[in-house]
Amino acid sequence: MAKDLQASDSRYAIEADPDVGREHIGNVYAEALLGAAEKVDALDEVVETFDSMVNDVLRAFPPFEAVLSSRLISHKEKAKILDRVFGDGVFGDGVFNAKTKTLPVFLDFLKVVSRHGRLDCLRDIQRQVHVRYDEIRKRVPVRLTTPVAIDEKLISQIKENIRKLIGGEPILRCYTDPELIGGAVLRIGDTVYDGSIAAALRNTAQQMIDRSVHEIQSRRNRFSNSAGN
Amino acid sequence: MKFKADEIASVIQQEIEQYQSQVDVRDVGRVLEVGDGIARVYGLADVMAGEMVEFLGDANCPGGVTGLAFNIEENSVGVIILGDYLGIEEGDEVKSTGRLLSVPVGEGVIGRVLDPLGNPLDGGPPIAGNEHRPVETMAPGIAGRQPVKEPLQTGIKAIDAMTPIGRGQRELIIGDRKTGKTAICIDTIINQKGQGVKCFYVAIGQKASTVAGLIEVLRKHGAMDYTTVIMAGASDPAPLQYIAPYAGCAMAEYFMYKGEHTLAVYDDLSKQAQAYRQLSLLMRRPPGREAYPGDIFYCHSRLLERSAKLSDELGGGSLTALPIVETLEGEVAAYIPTNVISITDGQIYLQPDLFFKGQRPAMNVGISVSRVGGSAQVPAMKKVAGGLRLDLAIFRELEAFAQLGTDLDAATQACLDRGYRLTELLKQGLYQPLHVTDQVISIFAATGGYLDPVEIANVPAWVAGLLKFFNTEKKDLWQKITDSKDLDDEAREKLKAAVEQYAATRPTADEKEPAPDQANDKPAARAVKGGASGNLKWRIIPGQKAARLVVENREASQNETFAAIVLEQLGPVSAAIVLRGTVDCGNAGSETFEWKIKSSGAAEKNTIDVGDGKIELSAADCPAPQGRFVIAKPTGGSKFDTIALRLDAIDEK
Repeated sequence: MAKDLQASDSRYAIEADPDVGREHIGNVYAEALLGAAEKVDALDEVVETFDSMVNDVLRAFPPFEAVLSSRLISHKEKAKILDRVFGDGVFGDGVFNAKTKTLPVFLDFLKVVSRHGRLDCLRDIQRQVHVRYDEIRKRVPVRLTTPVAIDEKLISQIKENIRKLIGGEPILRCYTDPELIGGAVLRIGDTVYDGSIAAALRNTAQQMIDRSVHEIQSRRNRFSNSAGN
Repeated sequence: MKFKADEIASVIQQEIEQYQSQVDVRDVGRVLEVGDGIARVYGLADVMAGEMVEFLGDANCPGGVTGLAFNIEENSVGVIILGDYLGIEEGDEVKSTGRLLSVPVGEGVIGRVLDPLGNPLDGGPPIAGNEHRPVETMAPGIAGRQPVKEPLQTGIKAIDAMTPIGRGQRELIIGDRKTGKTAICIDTIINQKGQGVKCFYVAIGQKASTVAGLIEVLRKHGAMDYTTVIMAGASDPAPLQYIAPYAGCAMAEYFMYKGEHTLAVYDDLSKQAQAYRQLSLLMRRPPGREAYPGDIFYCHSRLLERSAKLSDELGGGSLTALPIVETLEGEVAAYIPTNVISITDGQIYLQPDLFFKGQRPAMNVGISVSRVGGSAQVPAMKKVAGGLRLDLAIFRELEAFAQLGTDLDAATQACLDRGYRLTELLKQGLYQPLHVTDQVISIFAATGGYLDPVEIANVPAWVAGLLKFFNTEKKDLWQKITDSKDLDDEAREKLKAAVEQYAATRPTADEKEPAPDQANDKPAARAVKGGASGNLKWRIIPGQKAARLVVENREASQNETFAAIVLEQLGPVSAAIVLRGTVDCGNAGSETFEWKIKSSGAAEKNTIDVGDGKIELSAADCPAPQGRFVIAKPTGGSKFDTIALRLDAIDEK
């Protein structure tokens, strides 16, 4: 569950602050990393290691991220640091799994990113790794907005329905918005299914205006006052 | 008109009763950045190129600004905003509509002034009717077309006679600013009255005041009854200027596919190209020549290809396009002019020097062409105007030669005479289109030589009189030519007789107008045409019976013979000719002179004192009645900066 939350955090972070340039870079490296991981059959481990690195290392030690991002430090230095930190699998007091050596493919990936001077984009790469990983595992991020909070039972029912609809595993994130009045709004990717009362009222109002204007335009005589005043 | 409240309530009640709840499904995205009429949107994964999107100012506020998906990129969508982009903010939701950009079409648009989205700009109600048509549609294919063969009369003699425009043709009107490009189109629209041609005038990037003036002109001539004005002014965002011609074309196409005839004027495509360049650069599309994007040719070709004469199976409707392109300093080799020239079926080239000479329309008949040619002319016009272009071409060559001041033989002079009169004939006033039969009659008179004895200045009056004569006394013949649209031998003979009859009633002497300053007892006094313009060349051709003068005058140093007068006597002169004029010697002052040249050709020697120098006027080599007279170099006294000759009057004594 915790892993899911971390993953969904990175999924939604892009929506909060999209930077298409960095997203594009992230996409390139994510594709390369997952391709390399699939070859050595270590997809899940690589994703897990990447999440752990970002959440447990970079978030916990901001100066370390600053060092990696810095342009003042050469690639050679950074490669040595990466070797020292991740190469022997020993780091800190067990925050990072000291007993397991970091996967060579991941370490190589970090060095390649470093050689291209893109270590400042690690978080963007992680986001894109998750987007692609979800695609591979047929998982779809779904955002459900309701006017009031709903219970777990209803959520599981909704999940089941969505599963049938999209033919994949929904990763549901729930929000509440009282302005919807009733019903629910479901967002899958860029498609919004709006079944809220607020939208229905909005559409009704618009339809009324359109139809009334049409009636007035097409049958003006019907609405004119025969007395002429 | 007042509404009955209960009737409206009943409509609304029906609406509520029939309402069925539906889940609103939409593809959405979010504005990343916005400015200068474009927005970059994140999301909209399933949007199509050219699809309309709607900006929702706020999630609960529908009916925002419309946009058009323009650039579909890997991580974002470039949207051009068709409206006020100042209200759009970063983070606003954008919704795809699943529809291509379309505009209202049908009878409801006729007589209206609309923006490129079909919204009224004339203060009137929204466009009645539900019919819409996509702004971008494919042009008709080869099988759907037939050759252009019906004429679209512009009402302008020079165009209808020499560069005829057919229904379904694309004729470019090109020229510098202020050379009368729009005027030709407005004349053409005015001339379509009663011809069953629906007109669409698309104003792109123009001043609102100018367009308001044009609409007023159209209204005054009753042309707004069949005309729609689509306006994307200079202050409108570039996206609206970009789509305006496509919108106008879509409105016209509706009628074309209904089997009707339409005319679309795109005024002008160079501004549309600039708007497209702006959009493309903002969208970071790679710039090419003159920073225009690579597809600027396609931008214009796909618009102009939609003009067509449809096959009879498709109803035989037509869409004639008159695109306008503005050149800079006559540079037709620039990118946009060459592009549009190559797309269109001919061009009418307007030149500022002709315009300022008073030749209006200022059409250069030498390089203006219509690739459709005579098949778009009524047979009568084809018969009378066949040699007109050639005559004028020869005239232009000879005119350039004659400016050298050499003596000309009678045949050459006759050719020049005809040319001057033809040129005069082709001048036409603003918003005064002529009926095609009137054009045929006047061109017949000119090419038949009936105008030769008429003084050039009086050609317009003579022709106006001729047309009036046909309208009053020869109405039958006029009607016959109009109905048959042809000029068979019988009609030609009758026309010839009628013109001769008219010419006989207009003796040449009556055409002469006394000069205002010479209106005394001197019998054949007349004003000299043209005026002095410093030291530039100028010519005087006062009349056809007495004498012809060609004066060459040029800036000269004091040691040169600086002016020569070529005097050609065409008819009997009673005694002598007296030239009155002024010699202006710059720093030395000026002096008027009177110089008598006898009918024998001999000239009295005349010496003019200017300052402390002298200038001598004398006959150079001419004992004959016609010859060359020179104004000799100044002698003595101070040096003159410049010498200019001005002739004020020529009297016959």
